[in-house]
This record gives sequence, structure tokens and C-alpha cells, in this order.
Amino acid sequence: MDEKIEESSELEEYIIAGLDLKYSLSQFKQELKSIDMLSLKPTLDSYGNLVINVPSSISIEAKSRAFNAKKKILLEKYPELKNIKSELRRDYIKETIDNSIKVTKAMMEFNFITNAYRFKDATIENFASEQDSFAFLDQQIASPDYVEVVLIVFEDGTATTYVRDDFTANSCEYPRLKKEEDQWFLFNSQYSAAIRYIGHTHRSNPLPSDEDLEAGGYIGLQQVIYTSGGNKSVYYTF
Amino acid sequence: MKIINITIVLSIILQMVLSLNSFAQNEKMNSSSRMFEKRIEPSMFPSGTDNLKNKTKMQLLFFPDYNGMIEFLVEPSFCGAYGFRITISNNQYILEAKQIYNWKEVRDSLKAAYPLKIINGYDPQNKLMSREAIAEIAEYNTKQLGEIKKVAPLKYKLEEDSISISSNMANLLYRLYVDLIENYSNKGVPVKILDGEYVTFRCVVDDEVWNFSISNPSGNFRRLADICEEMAKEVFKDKEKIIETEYIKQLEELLKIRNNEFDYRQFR
Repeated sequence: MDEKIEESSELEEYIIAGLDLKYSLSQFKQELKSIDMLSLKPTLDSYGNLVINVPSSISIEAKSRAFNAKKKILLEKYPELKNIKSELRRDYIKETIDNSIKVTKAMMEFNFITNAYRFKDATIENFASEQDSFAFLDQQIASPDYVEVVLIVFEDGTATTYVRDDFTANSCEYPRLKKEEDQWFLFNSQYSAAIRYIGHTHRSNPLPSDEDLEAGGYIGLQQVIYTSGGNKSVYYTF
Repeated sequence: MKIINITIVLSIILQMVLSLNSFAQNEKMNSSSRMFEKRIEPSMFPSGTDNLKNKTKMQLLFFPDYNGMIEFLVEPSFCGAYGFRITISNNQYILEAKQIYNWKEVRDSLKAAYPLKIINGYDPQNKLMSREAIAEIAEYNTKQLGEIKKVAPLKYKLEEDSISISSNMANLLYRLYVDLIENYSNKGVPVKILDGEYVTFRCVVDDEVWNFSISNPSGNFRRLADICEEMAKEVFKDKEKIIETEYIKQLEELLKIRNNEFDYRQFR
């Protein structure tokens, strides 16, 4: 694969235009549901084609034109894309989606979230309440194979714990989050409730480490260090 | 309201089904990206003294007087920071290693001096605690933590030791520093790392000083950090028994990896 193509702004723009078009189509599908099809009258156009005009607030035609324009620009710059196998073309798109901040932002903007891919390699436990999750966390902390665990408590009172194979006794990572208005949610996940707080375990020390306190842009999100016995220290990062 | 032609829409839908399936595929984000800082500055102030302006408090604690040929500092979450710098004196390469020896003592005393408010989640009383009350505690704790972070470096104490190293080892380290810092580029949205270690690589390149800091380094920076961490620890463990040839072998292997990566990029 050619890094120049993977990292090109033309491929980014093409993907974003595709996302925009697909998002508009899903919006259009919603609008179609509210239209009384029986009330629409077919007419003949100047070429003699039977045409039905559908009232809609979304211009799919414009989105489609924009998408085709981006495709043209991309193929003009990298004509080799026309002749490669479709699997390789998909790989280019996948690589760019995985690595482009612009594309990730567009996905967030278009709410283009259908699968819980961040949880793919993770072990997830769901709990009816945060108290239930504490019992699980206490068990993990006491385990000889202890690794840090991420805890997410939602506004609906339920809780989820998140562990990945690459977590260690001294390090872990948050799953990707997103902010909508004043609330935080899991990004690209089936969990639709807002997050009340997110945290992770320490074996004994309730102080967040310097890394924990490093700014992550999580403004207003309550974060906690869970030690054991239900004890948690809550803090903010900026 | 715009009027659109349904025949166009149907053809587009067909086209999209055929060509846009790949947009639904985003199985795994790039998880290698993390927060880092790369800064290049003049190595000297106009006064002719070393530019130490943007060294952090911890860097200044370890290497307060001047910029070494290379400097290495690792700040782990659950133990004291340690590191080394390499300097040249009378054509001799000296590796000065330093480590904090009172980390736990300082942390414990600061924990007592700036106590945090701990919420017991099992306590049924907390069910009655309002969001506002919890937010108030979070704000109080954040303020206390800010104080701890500010005061801690002033209380740390260092032990120091040094060894003489070969020019071969010093130059291998230097080449890797320059190469890795120069060629590091960010890909994707960084992940939020919790705990682990914060590592700083700093070196003087001609008339510039390059400073690169990263949370839990991965890839080649991880390999370089592992070698450097081992070297720093060895100085305090048993400096007489340091086998330089072992480190040179590891550094050469890393340099070989880098050269192969470079060739691969050039020829594909």
C-alpha cells in the first residue's frame, strides 16, 4: 500500500463526502416514512420518463454530486486506484478511517456509529447498579492476576467494567468517549445512556497519578479512582 | 422544502449499496497514538548560557544546570522517577544516573497534608448524595491534587552515580535519539492513558535542543526506553557489572530495525 494515498487529503475528503451522503440517505429514509406516498402524483418529464416528485428537506442530489466530485479529484490524483483490486481499495479506506482525525471527527458529527468496535477486544461486564460492579472490582483487586479495570457508571444507574488484554497492573486506557451538549457518552457503542462518571482501579493508592491527571479534554466529566470496599476518590481533569 | 427526483434517489441508493459498504467498516481504531510533545528550540539563550526555559520541574530537578548531549527521564506512576544524561568531559563520555529515593515518603506525607475526600460507594447514605454535592467533592479533590503535584517535586531527594561509557555506545544512543525524534509523527486520535509512565528524551542537535515527551511509549520508542531504563537501573544496582557490549548489541539491533523501515518506505 502506498502511504501517500493513505495519508492524502483527497482520500480523506472522498471518505467524508461518502459519510455525508450515507448519513443524508439515512435521514432521507426517516423523512420518507412520514410522507403519504398515495398522495404523490407521477408526471412525465421532457424525455417521457415517469417521475414522482418527493418533498424532502434533504438534497441527496447535491450530496451525490459532491461525493462524485471528490471521487473524481481522488482518481485524477491517484489513477492507479482505478486498476487495483476492490479489497485493496477497501484497505486504503480502512487505513484512512483508522488513522485520520478529520474522518473520526466527521464520523462523530454524522453520528455514524453503528457498532461497538472499541469494545471488540475487551472483556465487558455489565451490572444493574454501581454497587454490583464494586463487588466485581473488589474481586479483581484481590486477584493475583490483577490488572487495572475501567469502570463506567451511567446516568440510568447501570454500570460497566472494561478490561483489555494489554492492560497491566500499572496501566490502562479509557475507551473512546464523546461529548454531546453537556453530557459524555461512549463513542461508537450500543450504550446510549449518558455517563455519570468514569474511573479506574488502583490497588491501594486513592491518588490519581500524574498521567491520570493529564488533560484529556474531558471537561465536566467526573473521574474516579476506585480502590476497594466501595471507596472512590472523585476528581476532574481539564 | 426542496423537491427531489425519486429516480435519482433510487439509482444513488443502488450505487451506495455497491460502493459504500466499506464506510461501515471501522473495526478497530488505531490505538498506538498517544499524547506526546515534540519541541525544538535554540540550544542557547542570547546570553550564551544553555536554554533550559521549557524544562519541566522534574527535568530541572534531575538536570538543572545545562543540557546534556542526551537526557533520559522516566516518571512512573507508582514509584520514583529516574533517568540519566550523557555528557562529554576531557573526551570521556560520562553517564550520570539519578533516581528519587524518597518517592513513597513524599507521596504519603502529601496525602496526609492535602487529604482527599473519599466517597464510599457502598454506603447507602451516598444514594442520597446529590450530583452537586459530588461535584463539590470533585472540585475540592482536584484542587488538593493540584497542590500535591506542585509541591511534590520540591520535596523529592535524589541519589546520583555515574560511569564512564564508550564513545560507540554514546553515539549509538545519540543516533537513535535524533532519528526517532525527527521521524516521529502522530497518527489518529490519541487514547487516554491512565497510569503507566511518562518518558522524556532530550538531546542537543547542532545549535538546537530537541525535547520529546510521551505517555507509555510504544514501538521503537518503547524499545529505546526499555534499553535506557535498564541502563539507568543497572548503574544503581551494580555499576561494576554493566556489560556495555550487551547494550551496544541491543542498540545496533534497534538501529537495524530503523534502517529497514526506512528502506521499506523508500521502495514501496
